[in-house]
Amino acid sequence: MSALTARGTVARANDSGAFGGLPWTVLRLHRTALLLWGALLLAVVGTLIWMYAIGADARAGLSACATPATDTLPSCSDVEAINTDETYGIGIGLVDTALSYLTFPVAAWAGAALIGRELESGTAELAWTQSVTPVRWLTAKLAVPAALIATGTTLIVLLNVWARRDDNPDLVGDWYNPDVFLSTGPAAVAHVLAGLTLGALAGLVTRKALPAAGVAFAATLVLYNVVDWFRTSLWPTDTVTGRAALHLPRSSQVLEHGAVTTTGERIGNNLACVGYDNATDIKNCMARSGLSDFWATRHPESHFWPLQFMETGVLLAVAALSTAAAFRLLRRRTP
Amino acid sequence: MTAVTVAGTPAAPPFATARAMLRLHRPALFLWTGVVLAALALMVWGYGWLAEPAAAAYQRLKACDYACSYDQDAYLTYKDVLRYASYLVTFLPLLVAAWAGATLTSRELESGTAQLAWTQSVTPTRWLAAKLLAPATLLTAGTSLLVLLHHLLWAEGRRADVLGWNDILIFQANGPTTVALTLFGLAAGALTGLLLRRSLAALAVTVAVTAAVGFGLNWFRGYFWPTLTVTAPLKDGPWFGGSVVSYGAVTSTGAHVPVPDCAQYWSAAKDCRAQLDKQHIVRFYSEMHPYSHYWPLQLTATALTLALTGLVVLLAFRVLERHTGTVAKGTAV
Amino acid sequence: MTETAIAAAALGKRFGRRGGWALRECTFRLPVGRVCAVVGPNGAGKSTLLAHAAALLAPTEGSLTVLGTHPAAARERIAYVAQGKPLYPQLSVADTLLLGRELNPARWDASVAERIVAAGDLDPKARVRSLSGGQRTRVALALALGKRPELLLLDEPMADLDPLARHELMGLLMAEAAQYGTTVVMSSHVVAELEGSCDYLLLIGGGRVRLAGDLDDLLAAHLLTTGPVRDLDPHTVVESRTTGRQLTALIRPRGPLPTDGGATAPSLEELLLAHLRNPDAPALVLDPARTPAQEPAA
Repeated sequence: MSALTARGTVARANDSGAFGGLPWTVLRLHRTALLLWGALLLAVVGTLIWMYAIGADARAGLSACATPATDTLPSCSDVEAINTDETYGIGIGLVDTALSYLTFPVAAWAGAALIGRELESGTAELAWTQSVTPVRWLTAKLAVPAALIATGTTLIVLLNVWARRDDNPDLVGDWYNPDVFLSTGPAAVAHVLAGLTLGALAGLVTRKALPAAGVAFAATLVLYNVVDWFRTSLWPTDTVTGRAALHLPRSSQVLEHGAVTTTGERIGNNLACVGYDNATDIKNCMARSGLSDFWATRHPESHFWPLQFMETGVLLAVAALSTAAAFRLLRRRTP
Repeated sequence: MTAVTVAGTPAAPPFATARAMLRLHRPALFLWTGVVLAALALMVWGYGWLAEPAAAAYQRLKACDYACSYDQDAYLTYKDVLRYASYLVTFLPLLVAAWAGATLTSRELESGTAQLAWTQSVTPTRWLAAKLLAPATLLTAGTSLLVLLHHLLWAEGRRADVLGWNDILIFQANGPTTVALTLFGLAAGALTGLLLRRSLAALAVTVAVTAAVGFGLNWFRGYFWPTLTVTAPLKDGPWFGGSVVSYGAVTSTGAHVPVPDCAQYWSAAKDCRAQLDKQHIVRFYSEMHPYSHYWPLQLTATALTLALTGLVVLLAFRVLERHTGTVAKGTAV
Repeated sequence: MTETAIAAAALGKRFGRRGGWALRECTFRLPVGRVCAVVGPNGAGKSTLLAHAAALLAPTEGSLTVLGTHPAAARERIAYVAQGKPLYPQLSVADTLLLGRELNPARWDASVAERIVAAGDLDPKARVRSLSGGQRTRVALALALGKRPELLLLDEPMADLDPLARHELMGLLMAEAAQYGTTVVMSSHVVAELEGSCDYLLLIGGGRVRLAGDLDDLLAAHLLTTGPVRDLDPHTVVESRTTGRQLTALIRPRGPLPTDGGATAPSLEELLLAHLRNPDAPALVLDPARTPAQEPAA
């Protein structure tokens, strides 16, 4: 009893404090989720700091070598002895994958534990008959996790960019690789926020924990795949013609190769002569295949930011729409 | 509630409990039927209409040294359909695990409806048996059908050379291991539900455990049958055909040593040859599984998963008996 | 007698566009400071009515004012305990009370809540998940009363309690209500629970108000008559039963009674049962603000 009395009579330390009242309640109710999120963040931050630390070593593991060593090149057996490049690649890759798929567990959690379970068991109504309006309740339920998730995800993205150092694609993958793209820019944050709001909407629609988890997961899966499908279409591509189309730099995401025959016919999706880089080889190949020109459509690396911003915009629009729908639904149900 | 009452009729035939069980989980039954039908439709489309044109397009592309137009859309559509089908079939066990963990036993214990059933002259043992048997039958039937069709879909398009038999998803979705893993998910759901008695917690744990078992099966799959040893001369580099479990280099004394990095792909290069000579490497070896090992590998993995499933089921009955104090009467595994 | 706790005007609620009416044309007025029993068979609409008063449901038609304002505007001043006593299972008892404090910053009285919990010998560190039905009810009541509500809405508060706990919690509730002048609205279908504690009655059947008014006034408006079989005009007959040549009837007298029979005041149970058995009996709404009893035509 003493514990209860002691806690109950202590005046609130700071009555206007941002962490009193409703936000405190949301954090307290979802303590397990909060602890899990904290543990995940710690693990990821630890991994990324470690990756940054071994980053230089990992690059040495990829260095050009000679046998025996020369003045400018180290000996190949020395370079081979370095295994850090593998550890580094795996570590960064794991973080990328985790960040790309984070939206799914977040959506399922938001649907099931954040909203659905409360409506199913009547605890939401318990809160609404305290001095909290349903609208304020949903606001807190969305804002507190959204703030924590956005902050955490942003932190991971920034640390990830930092730990990737020079973005050597041999170590950390090409920028247009879906996992890499989704873990190195603002789209990562937008994906998770869209998952959160879709989950909350699913919880409000189904009013039951498990169906909400299922619906939220399915909706996020659809969103993820649709966005994945249209990702490269969110910004106009560059078209390269002539010989340059045959050996584009690795930093270009090539979407289509094509060739023009001597009769003027354009053949799309064609890899003829790709890979040849000296003029004679190309000429021979062109003569052999009856081709007169080539083209390629691509996203150069400079399209990274426009693509990121477009995807972020689309996802934030989805998040805003599902939030609006959730509030509308709640307002229609309660006076 | 009516479902439970049916189960409680004293003269109820043995299958009545199963019938009650199905009525109780009607939404899940509909969902399962929906998923199976959708997957079937997708794969029948791929098998009947996409595989052949894709193979033809690929063959044409190969025949004309890439410098010709070919039906790329046919090839890509088939590839996408195959990919989606593989994902669907491979992750089916996780879906089942989520459902079983969340609803099979945990929710009933959480809400007290299990006790309700037990007081309707259904013994807890029979209750659990029905909870496992009815879904197990449906899951086995549905998953077997899907796996079979997936195998057909993949085999029909083999000439399109999209994905080999040893691809992680293809291997998983092509064989009975997936059926066994589905049953494991079901059993694990029942057990975690009995142990945790909380719906959402049981869901998370069951999915994690089933994913871990699936992952483990894949990780160790190469060791489920004795490998063949293939050697390759220095100029060819190590052999990477089939499903390679491990590979290395053989020295003149017959010792097995790791392959130097330079020789992974370009062992013919001059400076690499020098290095190989320095280490007295005379050829490469690969421990691998040819396609003919596919069925032994699949069946061993299936048997292992089924054994694990049996163990989990046994444990579930033990936990239930300890909890309710009922005497074990020949638990059906 | 002038202030109104709840006033309903032609209140109606339908769930879904094609669902049946859970409440229809409910009109009544509950003065402040009363302990009101909402009685009716299962499915009569009691919970729906309470949920409207607690600002959890929006009416389909008609209107409802609570403490002189829109229910949603009175949210801070009302407390509500739902039928299932929903509480957060993962919280401890002490944390549940902390939650009450955080969610009611303007009105929380920790001492009231703690006193109620302490009287039940509850371990503050115990998780709500592990509590018995009676203990949960106690915590739910503590959360409701700690808010110091002006209007306390209780949906079947004592339904799953043993007689001893029921008696004790009822006493506690009445004492708190009396001390602060709280208006209490309590739904129930256990007549024994109401007798002696309630002074106002709202009988609901088929989604409509059947009886409403001060309990004593309602009892006084009815008579249980026995006598030879005869036409009971001009009295309003709620229920009549013939045994042999004897007629027993519950009537609302309108003028002098026949002299050749007995007439007694009915008990609360007799009054309620007679109305419940005869859903077609005309409704009677006694509004204490207006003196003449208003008896709308059925």
